[in-house]
Amino acid sequence: MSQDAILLEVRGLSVTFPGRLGPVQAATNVSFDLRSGEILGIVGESGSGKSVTVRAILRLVPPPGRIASGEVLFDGRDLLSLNAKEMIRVRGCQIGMVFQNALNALNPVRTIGDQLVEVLRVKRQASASEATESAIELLHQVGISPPRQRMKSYPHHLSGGMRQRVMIALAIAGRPLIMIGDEPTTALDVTVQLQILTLLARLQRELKMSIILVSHDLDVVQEVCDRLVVMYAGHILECGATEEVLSHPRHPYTEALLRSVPKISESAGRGRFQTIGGQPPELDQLPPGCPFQPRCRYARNICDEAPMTLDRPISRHGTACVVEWSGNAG
Amino acid sequence: MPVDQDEILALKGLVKTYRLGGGFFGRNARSAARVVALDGVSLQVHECESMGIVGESGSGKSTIARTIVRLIEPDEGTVEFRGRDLFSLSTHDAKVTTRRIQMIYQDPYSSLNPLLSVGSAIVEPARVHGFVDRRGADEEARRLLDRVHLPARAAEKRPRELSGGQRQRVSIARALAARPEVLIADEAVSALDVSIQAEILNLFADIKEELALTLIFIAHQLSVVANVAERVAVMYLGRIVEIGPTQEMFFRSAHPYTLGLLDAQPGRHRKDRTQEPALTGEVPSAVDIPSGCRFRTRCAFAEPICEAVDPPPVLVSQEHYSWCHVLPRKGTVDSRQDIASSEPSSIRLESQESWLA
Repeated sequence: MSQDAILLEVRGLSVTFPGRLGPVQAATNVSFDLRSGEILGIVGESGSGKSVTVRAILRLVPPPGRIASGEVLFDGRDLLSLNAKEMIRVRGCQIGMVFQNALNALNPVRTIGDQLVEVLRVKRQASASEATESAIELLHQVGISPPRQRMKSYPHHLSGGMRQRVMIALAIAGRPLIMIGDEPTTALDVTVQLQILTLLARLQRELKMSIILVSHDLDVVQEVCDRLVVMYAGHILECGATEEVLSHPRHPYTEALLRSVPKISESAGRGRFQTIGGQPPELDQLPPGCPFQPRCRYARNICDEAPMTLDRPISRHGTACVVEWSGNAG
Repeated sequence: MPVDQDEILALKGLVKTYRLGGGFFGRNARSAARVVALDGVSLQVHECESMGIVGESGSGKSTIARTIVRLIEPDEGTVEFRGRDLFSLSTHDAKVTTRRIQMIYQDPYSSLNPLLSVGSAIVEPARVHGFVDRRGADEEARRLLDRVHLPARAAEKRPRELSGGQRQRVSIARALAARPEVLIADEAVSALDVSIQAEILNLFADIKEELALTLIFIAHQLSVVANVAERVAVMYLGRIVEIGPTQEMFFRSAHPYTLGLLDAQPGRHRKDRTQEPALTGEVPSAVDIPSGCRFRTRCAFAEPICEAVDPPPVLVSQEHYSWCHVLPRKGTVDSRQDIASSEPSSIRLESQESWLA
């Protein structure tokens, strides 16, 4: 598979939840590609739909939410049309997932060794002794030492960073082609956060995986991601190579978000932060067209009719903004 | 900042430990291990300054905040507010004095009473302390809401009807109702989205300026503290390990832990994303603190002396102290370079007369 081969195609994905005034769209017409061997970042604030989007890929949208429409094409098949049994094989074996809160995701009354061995026996059909050896190897791979002794630890024996390493070991146990991390470093201290991000980048290279990293933190995604998808109120507003999106944002929201991130600089502490103003919208009270327009300083009348699709092919640096402003001229 | 500025708060040798386990009703209390939350912290805060405190979880930064507002009584040491020990006040004096120190917590969901309307919640401290009576309450609520840039109609709402950012504004208004002189913000913006975080930080800057407040700003995010504080203290395992003016701390740091924290800041555009971070490992257990320098187990610069001797404070430059045996002697590191790739040899050497003396 060549470097730029497309591994996963998400097309027109919409997820709805029942609301007081009818269904609420948590993700609306979301389309993006994941290329082979890349780390793709999905970034957005709370309520942007980033989490629900990646959960939909694995059909893990919590009820009463449901996938209303769309396709998730992987390996020539639409994951949304698979039956439950086939889907179980996809989860873990082809697409692994790491969640934010490892303490909730791990079984508190079983050792991490047991939990790894179980996954290995199911997903790799390994014998008990093979699985034990592989589990030790996996713990070593994710930087847990000494791995043999740690097999006997329970989740509560481990620090937050170590638990997240165990989660990653579980996610890669089935040798997946894709790993999805949903805010995997959000609950961690900065020094541990960087260790985990570095681990993800190293595993991606060693195992030739692709990774989707979901985060609310622009600084975190730019640390390791090749490309970024920026989401707001369930819509993709911008998508492109990390450096291009950060140096030349083409959507006013991305520009505003970048300005409001505090930075350590020589002039720090003397100025004020630029703010976006207003509130993130309620999903059941979205304006027509572009959901960002009530807070946007470039908003015009045409924003009401914005189709909310990217203006360029999905492989390039696209924006959903229809206004010609300094970042989006010509 | 002039050194002779009035001191408003002085923490002197604060120690706080917690018993771990020890059995039912503390039967084995004597044999129980103790978790060290604060291990001899001294800190002077000047009138009208904004003091930042950073550190990872378990560093003791929140324990300091809670001690200053008398939610926690230290095992040893004193907290003096304008020269008076907060823990030896009479009940009446305590009420009068503690009013002047107010705290804002991280989670405005759990720190506001869900049953009280916003108006009643924010006026309550002003009523308790006798600044307004029943008739003046509405006027006071409007004034406070305006101060935190919330519309007057917000007074009728319940906390659950507000967004996280609005709720944090309400918490600030409630703190201001007591007419404080010192405001402590304990991770007050950590749970907020970036776009909202910026607005609350601006609000802190405004009220500090307008009301001539002293601000103690506690956060785990260095970038946030760098933009708020004039002086910063970095904590590690219950101790302050480096303290100094913000620019000094972030651009001429003289402690390996501060350098490690700066290196770990995401978004630094590392050339190779698989390059191992400068700071490896995690904070050791607060039950079993390493001998000598408590940071030495993770320190790339550690020397034999670090295991044997607890480092004394070393004056690096004016008002800038580092509790490190090695770095102040070698000179400070320009933390803008990639720390992970810089060998100790590339450290700029500066004369450190104070250290030699």
